Amino acid sequence: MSKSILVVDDTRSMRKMVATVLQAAGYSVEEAGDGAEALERAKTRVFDLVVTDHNMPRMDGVTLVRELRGLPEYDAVALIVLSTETGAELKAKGRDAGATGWMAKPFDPQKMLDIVRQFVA
Amino acid sequence: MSANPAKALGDASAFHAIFFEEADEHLASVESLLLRLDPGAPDAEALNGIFRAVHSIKGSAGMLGFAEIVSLTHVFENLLDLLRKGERALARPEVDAMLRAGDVVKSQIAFRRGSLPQAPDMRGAEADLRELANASTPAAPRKFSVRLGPLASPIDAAELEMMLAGLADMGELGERAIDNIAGGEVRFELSLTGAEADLRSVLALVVDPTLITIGKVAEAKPPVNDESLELFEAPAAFRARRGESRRKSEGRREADRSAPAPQGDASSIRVSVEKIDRLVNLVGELVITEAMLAQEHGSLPDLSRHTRDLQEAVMAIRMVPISAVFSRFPRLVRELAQRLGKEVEIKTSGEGTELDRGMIEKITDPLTHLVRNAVDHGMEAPEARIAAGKPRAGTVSITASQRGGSIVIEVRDDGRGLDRNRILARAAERGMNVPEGASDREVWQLVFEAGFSTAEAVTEVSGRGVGMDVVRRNIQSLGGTVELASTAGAGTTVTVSVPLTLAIIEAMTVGVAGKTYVLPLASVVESRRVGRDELRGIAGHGSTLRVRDDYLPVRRMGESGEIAVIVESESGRAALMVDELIGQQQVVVKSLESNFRRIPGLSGATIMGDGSVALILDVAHIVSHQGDAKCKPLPTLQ
Amino acid sequence: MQTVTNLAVAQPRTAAEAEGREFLTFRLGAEEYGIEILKVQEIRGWEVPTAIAGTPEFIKGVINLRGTIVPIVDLRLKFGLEKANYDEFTVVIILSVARRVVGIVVDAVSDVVTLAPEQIRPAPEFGASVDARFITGLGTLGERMLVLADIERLMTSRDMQLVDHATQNA
Repeated sequence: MSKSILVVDDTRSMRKMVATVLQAAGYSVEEAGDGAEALERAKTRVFDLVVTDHNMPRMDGVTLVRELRGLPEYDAVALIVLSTETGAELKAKGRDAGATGWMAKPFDPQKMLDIVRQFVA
Repeated sequence: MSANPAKALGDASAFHAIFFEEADEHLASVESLLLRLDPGAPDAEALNGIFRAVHSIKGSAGMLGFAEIVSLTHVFENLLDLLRKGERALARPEVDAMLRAGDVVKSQIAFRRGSLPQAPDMRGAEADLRELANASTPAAPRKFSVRLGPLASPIDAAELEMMLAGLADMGELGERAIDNIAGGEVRFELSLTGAEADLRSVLALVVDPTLITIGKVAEAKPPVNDESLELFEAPAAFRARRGESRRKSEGRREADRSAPAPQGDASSIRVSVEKIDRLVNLVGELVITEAMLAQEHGSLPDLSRHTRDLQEAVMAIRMVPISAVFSRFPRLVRELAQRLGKEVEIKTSGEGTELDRGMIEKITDPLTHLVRNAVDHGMEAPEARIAAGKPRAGTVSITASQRGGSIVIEVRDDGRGLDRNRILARAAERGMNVPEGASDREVWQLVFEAGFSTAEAVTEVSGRGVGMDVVRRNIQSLGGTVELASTAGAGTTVTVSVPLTLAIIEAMTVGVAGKTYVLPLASVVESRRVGRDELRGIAGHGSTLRVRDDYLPVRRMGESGEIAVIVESESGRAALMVDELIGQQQVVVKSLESNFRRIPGLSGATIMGDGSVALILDVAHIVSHQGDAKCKPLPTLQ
Repeated sequence: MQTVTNLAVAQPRTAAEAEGREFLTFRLGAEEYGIEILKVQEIRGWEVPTAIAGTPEFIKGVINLRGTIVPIVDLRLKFGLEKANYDEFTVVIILSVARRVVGIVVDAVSDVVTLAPEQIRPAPEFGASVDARFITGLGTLGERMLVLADIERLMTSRDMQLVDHATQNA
């Protein structure tokens, strides 16, 4: 059974692009449009990796990361934040919340695949 | 590592369509949020919403390599960030600049989509945004290294001391090496927020300008992490930790694996209009077939009910809130008012009122024209308003509500109102015959005549050959009505009434001279048999029928007719004489105009249970038609 | 008691056919006309339309065509031909023109023909029953002479009274 990745972004085109890159590499992908929806999804099944945007309505990426870290099942699941924002302060918050890594948008598909491969459960 | 990430996605054009669609939605949201912002007390949520929308567009545009869009939205985003953090006050210039920028982005998208031949010039919009954004942040202090010399002769010590003290006041004096002797140099570093030119002029007070050398010391930039990736945990460590954690929770995990949830967020889907129309048509035919069945074999209550429910559900799909039309008005009013030098506020209510989508498309133009009229012709200039004791800013209010089987839309302004004398004068000019002592209402009706306009100049704004006559005709072709009401000096109200849905109505079927006709049940008050002696004739005006305290005009469609059906429209009541009352049923309204044309007196046709066509009578026409010799004979009435 | 013929556009079988245009031919009085096959939706027999008072005599009324209201124009009456009877042999051609569906009553439908460019000559000056404005050319097929009509232009013209020219494009 292929590895599953949850892609979270409120921008549909962005989600599709990330999903396509990952699917092409053989991962099975699910999508969520904001942090709250992602959290619900994440509770129904345990994904092998999560890629999330930060700026989203209802629940932002860093908060999602924090929430996910609160779930024991996600202890060992890599949570990558993919965002246009790369300010040091925000990144520190992400790190404190338990993010595994922070990737800048626009992203390099190859780089993303490398990281995913290294961190997927 | 590829230089252009977009290339790595292979054929990105598939994403283009999604991006364009999304961008449209984001831009619409940006515009609507911007228009609703109250500069005095900007809503934080709204600012965040606008920020997020622009941010989204920027992100996706970046992925697809649309550099010019990224560039503009980046500057846009900067300003928004300052605004939402409260580091910059929001005022009209900011809102205007952002609205303009939104328009340019829209054009940029259009260009990328292929609907514009060339990319729009974004420099103006970009510059405006940049200026507004930069105006807020204090200019960052810059470091200068100053060298005065080689000196021909020493600078007066006191003067030098004063100058240095003065510079220290202006900024921050750094390292200095002062060799104030002939052939020597005075050197120092200075951190200053001012311009280099200002510094130079200060120094020139003390030494010969040719001896001044100012160099900029490169600012050590605050460390900006522009790495495209930062890992907070090394892969190896992560894997090690994971291994342990896994062993612990293996059992739990197994239990948690459930069937994958459906992909994507499907809270709404897009369906083509053709598919919907086809669905509506099919359900309409189902209704007819069910009626046929009921006629022949008696009805099955369950089938009847299910058919009816299905019909309602399908019709509901076509219903669209009228906000789809109203949403364009705030921007329209704002720009129009600005262009004309007037101050106009707009108020809308009843945006949630739903209309059949076919209806929405057709009332958009007429309503837009009415709103333009209100601002252009109806509203006075601010000075005139104040002189008249009115508030400086005029108000145009647009309301929609459902009343029975119709949707009523009012466009009201508190402007100068219709000028009765002007209208009468214009009518006289055009050789129109207006009876003495005509009521205000009758005078307003003249405005609907073709080519009639009392505006001094047909302005570029509202006079595009679309007059009130076309507005009325358009509304009437939908089976609706338009009425004008006005008070001089106080304002004008235009009331538009259209049927709730074009498609299905409760109807009463009647027979006249062997043919079946249909009347909308909502317009039928009552019916009864009448004897000839009950009809009173009035010379030159046909007959009347007394119904309780009213004398109603009698309308005939044939020779006989012993049953009177009292019908009612906005303008009053009339008694329509028919031969028989056949029944009551729901009918699917079919347009006569899609393949034919509008026939006065008919508001459509329907297909009866036996497949035959029955004509639907236009009640407004029945009531208001005079039937005297001067008017053209009614097609169906005599 | 309606005969319904649905016309599918045939695939060109020969090179000549591929080059030529297909026309439906019909008789109206003494003349034979040809109209572009793509404008023809179907051919039906006669059914009594629902008359609408106040419309010209040549507009017979409207019929129900599978749920759509379609007006029927009797071209024989419009062009002042003598005979105009309605029986089981009367033919109605349902047209799809200018995004509308309308029906015309003619004397008889002949067949579908393909005319190569050489078989079409420019329209004559003298008139047929149809105003020269609406004639695009003359087709020759052996002995037959076909008056090729621009049926879309004809049906949407002002004096056909099918289209409300004032609110067009509203």
